[in-house]
Amino acid sequence: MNRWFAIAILITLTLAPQERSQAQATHHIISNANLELTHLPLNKARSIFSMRLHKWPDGSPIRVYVLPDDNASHRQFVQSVLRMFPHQLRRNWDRYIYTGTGQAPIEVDSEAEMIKQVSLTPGAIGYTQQELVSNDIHTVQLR
Amino acid sequence: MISTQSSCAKFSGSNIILCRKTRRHRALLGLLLSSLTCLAQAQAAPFDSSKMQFHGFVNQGYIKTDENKFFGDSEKGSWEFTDIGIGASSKLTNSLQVSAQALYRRAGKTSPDGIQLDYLLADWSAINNADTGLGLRAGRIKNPFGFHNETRDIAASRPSILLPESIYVDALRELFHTADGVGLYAYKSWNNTLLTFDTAFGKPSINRATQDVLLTVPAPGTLVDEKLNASRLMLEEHSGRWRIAYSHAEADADYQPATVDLAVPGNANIKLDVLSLEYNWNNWQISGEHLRRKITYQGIFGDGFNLSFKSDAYYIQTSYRVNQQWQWLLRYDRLYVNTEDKAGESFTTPSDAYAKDWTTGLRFQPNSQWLISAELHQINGTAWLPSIENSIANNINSDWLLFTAQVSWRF
Repeated sequence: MNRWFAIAILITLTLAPQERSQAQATHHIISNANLELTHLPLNKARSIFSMRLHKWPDGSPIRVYVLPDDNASHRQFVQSVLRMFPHQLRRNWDRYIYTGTGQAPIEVDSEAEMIKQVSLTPGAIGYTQQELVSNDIHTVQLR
Repeated sequence: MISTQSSCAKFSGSNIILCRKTRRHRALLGLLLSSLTCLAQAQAAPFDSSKMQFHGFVNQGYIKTDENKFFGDSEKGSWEFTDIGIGASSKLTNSLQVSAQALYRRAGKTSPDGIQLDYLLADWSAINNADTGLGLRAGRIKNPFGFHNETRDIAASRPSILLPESIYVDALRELFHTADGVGLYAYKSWNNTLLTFDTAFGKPSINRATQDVLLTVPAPGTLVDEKLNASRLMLEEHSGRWRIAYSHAEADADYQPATVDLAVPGNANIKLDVLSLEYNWNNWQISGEHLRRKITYQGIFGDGFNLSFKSDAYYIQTSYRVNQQWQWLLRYDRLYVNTEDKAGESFTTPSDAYAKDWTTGLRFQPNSQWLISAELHQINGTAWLPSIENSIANNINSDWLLFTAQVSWRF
């Protein structure tokens, strides 16, 4: 009986209407200018930062740049822009890394380094808190 | 379910494992090389060494029980609870990745000594769009099963130090963890949901300890013609708020008696079905999995012998993230080995028929590299107690406590 009660609770919770606080986005997704990327659907951005999607539509590799897990800016980006929990992103990466079925994103130590790498690397995508105006980087709007 | 380990069986067992391993590695390498050549020809692209990645982890645990032995002489306190893994992956082309990981594992007598090849595979991602994906894997691959099977050695991926033993039985780890064969994976995204399908077919790794658990008694012969398939269908919200999965796995092997053997030729078959659910709400997570397992023996224990029984297990757990570093867990995990004999009246040791485990634990994760955790299990029943570490002569107690702590580091 216990078991069915527990399963019933889980199903109810799962199907319950979603009520998620839409926190104000604090970050912008940035990409290397070669991609000419201006818009991205939210779920596609989630697939990219989860490392499930690893090719751009033209077949070239996606290079994902992130700050460390415990970096406050990283946590804010994941929660306010991707609207996910940082530990869920990490769980996806771990599954790919430690089962040999995918690779980890490239970790950088600071936002300055992130901006530099994304501007220099074709196919690169990352995020920043700053409003950037640069010829090497495009700011990507989520839709 | 209780057995004593004879040193003779152990000795011959390790020889057999060695011969088998060499053969297996050769077959694996052949498979891998041929698939690589084929795929490389299909999409020739320049090799990019910047796509090489390395990873590794070290887990060291301590286990103390008040009664019974789990991973070494835990009644006195055991440190025989170590995992060390090191691996690399490389993108040969935009669609083709090769990866390998070596694993050293020490878990009392339940795991084979020495370094094992944990996985070695080629992964070809044929379709990789935002909405649809399809790919193939070949080599030694991890089996898709439940929420935790593939990542069970990664401390940070587990909710607790010991996974729910009723479903992720450590004594049967080798049998269900990997297969030498091929796998297929696919995903499809609709609106906010993602459907993924993973399947693997191949030959499982069966060592002497696993064989003893599978056959319930140490037998001098060997299991041959082992086959395994595992599949999982998972539906999840893109945000990761909830996920539901259904997994099915089946392992099958024939028993070949030794020259001097009381056992006769026969077959052992084990089928598992698991329903998995998880829900995340703010800092809370609630999850549960329900397992049905059917084991069938034909022959082995006598000509015309035929036995089939069903096991039933589930766990439900909740965890709370106090902050980004601290996490608390509470779990109830229950197993009946034979649903028609829950009290174990037909078992040599009745408590081997069931296990009810209340677990509470704390985790401290200062950053993504370090994890320190501790947990306490209050257990009634000995169904998943490794028989290889607990002979009948050792008084087996049906009510026992298990404390474990672990430090993990990874890169």
